[in-house]
Amino acid sequence: MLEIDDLTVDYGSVRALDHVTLRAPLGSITTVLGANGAGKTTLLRAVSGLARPASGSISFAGHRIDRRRVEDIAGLGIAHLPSGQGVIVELTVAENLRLGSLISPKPPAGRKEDLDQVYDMFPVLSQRRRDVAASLSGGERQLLAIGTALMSRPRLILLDEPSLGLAPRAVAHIMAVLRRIHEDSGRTVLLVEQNARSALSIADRVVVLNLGRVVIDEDASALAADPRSMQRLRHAYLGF
Amino acid sequence: MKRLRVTAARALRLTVVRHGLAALAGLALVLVVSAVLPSYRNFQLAELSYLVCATAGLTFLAGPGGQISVGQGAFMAIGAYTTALVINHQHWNLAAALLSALVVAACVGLLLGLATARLRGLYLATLTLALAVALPALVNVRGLSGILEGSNGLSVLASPPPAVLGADFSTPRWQAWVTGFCAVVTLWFLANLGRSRYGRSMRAARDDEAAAALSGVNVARVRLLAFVVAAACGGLGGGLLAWVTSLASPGAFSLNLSFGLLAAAILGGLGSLAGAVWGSLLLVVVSSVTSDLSSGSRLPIDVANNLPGAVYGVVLIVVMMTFPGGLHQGYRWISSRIPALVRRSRPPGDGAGRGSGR
Amino acid sequence: MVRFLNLTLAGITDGMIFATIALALVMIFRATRVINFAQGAMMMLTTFVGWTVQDRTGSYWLALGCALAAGLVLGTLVERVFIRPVENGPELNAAVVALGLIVLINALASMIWGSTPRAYPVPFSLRGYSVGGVRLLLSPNDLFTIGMVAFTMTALVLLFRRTALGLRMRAGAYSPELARLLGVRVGATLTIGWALAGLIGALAGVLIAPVVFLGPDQFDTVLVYGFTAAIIGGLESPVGSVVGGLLLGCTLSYVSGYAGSEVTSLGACAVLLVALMARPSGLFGPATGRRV
Repeated sequence: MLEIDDLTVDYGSVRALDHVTLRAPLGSITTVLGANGAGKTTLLRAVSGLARPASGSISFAGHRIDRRRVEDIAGLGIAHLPSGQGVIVELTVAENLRLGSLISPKPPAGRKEDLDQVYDMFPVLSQRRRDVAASLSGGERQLLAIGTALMSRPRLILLDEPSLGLAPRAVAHIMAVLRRIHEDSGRTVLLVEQNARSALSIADRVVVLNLGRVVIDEDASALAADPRSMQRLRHAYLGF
Repeated sequence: MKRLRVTAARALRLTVVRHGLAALAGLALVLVVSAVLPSYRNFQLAELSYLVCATAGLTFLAGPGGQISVGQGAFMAIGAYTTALVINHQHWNLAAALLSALVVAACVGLLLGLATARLRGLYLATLTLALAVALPALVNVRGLSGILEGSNGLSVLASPPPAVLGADFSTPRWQAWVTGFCAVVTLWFLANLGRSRYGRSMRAARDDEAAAALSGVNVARVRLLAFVVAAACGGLGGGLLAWVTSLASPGAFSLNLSFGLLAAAILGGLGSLAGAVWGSLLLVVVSSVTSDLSSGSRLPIDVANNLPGAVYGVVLIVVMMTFPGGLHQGYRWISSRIPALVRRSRPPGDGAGRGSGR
Repeated sequence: MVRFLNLTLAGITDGMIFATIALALVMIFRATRVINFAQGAMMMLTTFVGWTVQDRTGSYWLALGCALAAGLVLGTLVERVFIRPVENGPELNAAVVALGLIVLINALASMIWGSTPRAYPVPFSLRGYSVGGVRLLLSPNDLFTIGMVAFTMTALVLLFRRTALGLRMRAGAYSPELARLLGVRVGATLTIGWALAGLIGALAGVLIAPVVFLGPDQFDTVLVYGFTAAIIGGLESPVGSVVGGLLLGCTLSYVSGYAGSEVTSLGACAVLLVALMARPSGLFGPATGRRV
């Protein structure tokens, strides 16, 4: 589904990603872990076109996308939810959701159906549909961001630290939502997290970045079962 | 000998000494340039100098002060009318008249600054813009129009060069001297102020108001100071303008002047006083060169009269697109590339790469 | 009493025009964070286009249409050619480019049309209605002005609130990066914003030209009033610009009616000062402090 080959991204003189290769197969949840500054966010920004690669390639569903414009990549069915601010706070809940549905041209009937589904899944959004997103709590905003992404009927969802700054209960809720979305529709998810425990609980595959390089790329179940791998994971995070 | 050199090197590191030397060099430059140029060009040198005064005030306001004013023309108008009134009615000498222009403008700036203490950025800018339009219109108000002569303006009694300089010393040259002196002193004062405790407080307040306030900076006071200083510079520039052109009239302080001064300040590079000189120089040079060209050509009168404006507009746009950091940055960019270009143009094997001259 | 009523009526008509200019400024500021100092010069140019068409064909309506079309084209052109290249530089650079445009456009207009102010015709009678023998300062032409502005405002509100394009434009203005991630062509929405602002400005120019006459420098004062209205309204809010425009229009009308027309511009200064002392970021601006 998503194929990243030998990708290198520089920010000025700093190398953020160093020859990274990874696969996110159709219908899988792949989680990318790593400490601050490991290059996780840059990886997602490169996929959605916000960061320009110095070398390497990114393909989505068979198309090269690494030189395309952000808007066009979004149009192909890749929804990127940046960390922290995933919603436009000046717009109302309903407007955010409508904006999501505008990406792909589809009949109003389909739009209505999607909207009902999102409101079904997140009743809190339905209650507050006329409120501006600025008035929502952090967890509610994250749900709105996910809902907006779903309205665009994405084939691939890129999530950047959805648990950032949320209370443990809200994190558990978000993870449950992600698992449900994945089980309901089989969408491909690339999940960047610092919170390894919650990410590992739903992931099929785990990639660990350290200083811009891939240091682990394994099945989540195999990783969890193998104490040595867990040690390497700790090493990548904490440096010992 | 060696000790002397070390002392000199140490002294050069002192800001006050450096600024003092730069100011002396500036004065020398004014003397030399005014001697070389013909009389008519001396008038332009004077024009440049009073523009530098006003623009430097804006640069200071925008640099350390972090505020934008679109109404510098209003303060120039205040200075100009003050000068005209005290020279014509009180028969004050030039120095006293200019000083009074500076003080009156500073007082108006103080009042306005107190009233607008809570305003930031564009809100303050628009208020000064409204002032720039409203103030010149005052000359037609009943009661004032008698003293200020309405739209015709006040003509200022001319003061000839002092007798010490000889009988045939040209007036424009004398004007270039006085205005040049004022411009250099203004720049010198602003440079020192920017480096002083107040300057540091201003920069701190500009960059992070809350942090500055927490570290004991009286934010309101330093912002007010920057505003008053800028107003005073405008007043001085306006006073000089009235004296040089022998006229204080509302037409001289149109919106175009205020826009032009702001453009000169930004164009030169906000925050660098050298930029204020560059920006003003461009303002004067472009218009004088193009009017020389167009007056000699056989273009229709409407086209010839407006060619300088058109060219100046294009220059503003092109410079801003080419050097986003202003002319001063462009100058630095070019001068830092010259050694590299020289090196590259040397044939290989001729010691290229050694002694880079930096 | 009749005098007060008349001054109010005149103030509303003027205020609607100030509001229109303010609206053009607000649209551009909201979308691109650029203060378009060149709005007045652009208005002047499009109004001259209208004047020329009127001069050749004698049709007010054709001239209006051409001026509006010229506004669309000019807005697009200015954004694409002049503003886009400096958008990523320091914020003030766009302001200098706008200042450069003023000088350039003024010079070009003086070259083509000369610098003597010209009269611009009105489509309807300027004779005020009379009610019970009292002549009001409200003419059919004033009603036309108010109607045109009200129509434009309503159309804009509907565009922003009800259409997909409006939603995209707002998203692009508030949060360009997120909007792009949601597939909005932000570059295009910005251009459309400038084009619409050009159109609105062109309308204001044609409506104000009969009052202040048409010449390279004739619109300066009106532009400053438009700025003042926009700032009073808070720079970000279309509703604010209407309120600001009406407030300013009425105040200026009272000032010039009771204190004399020479102090009108000083009155604008005073209104601005008072409004900003009460609320430093305008009546409808963002509340204290910006969101971080």
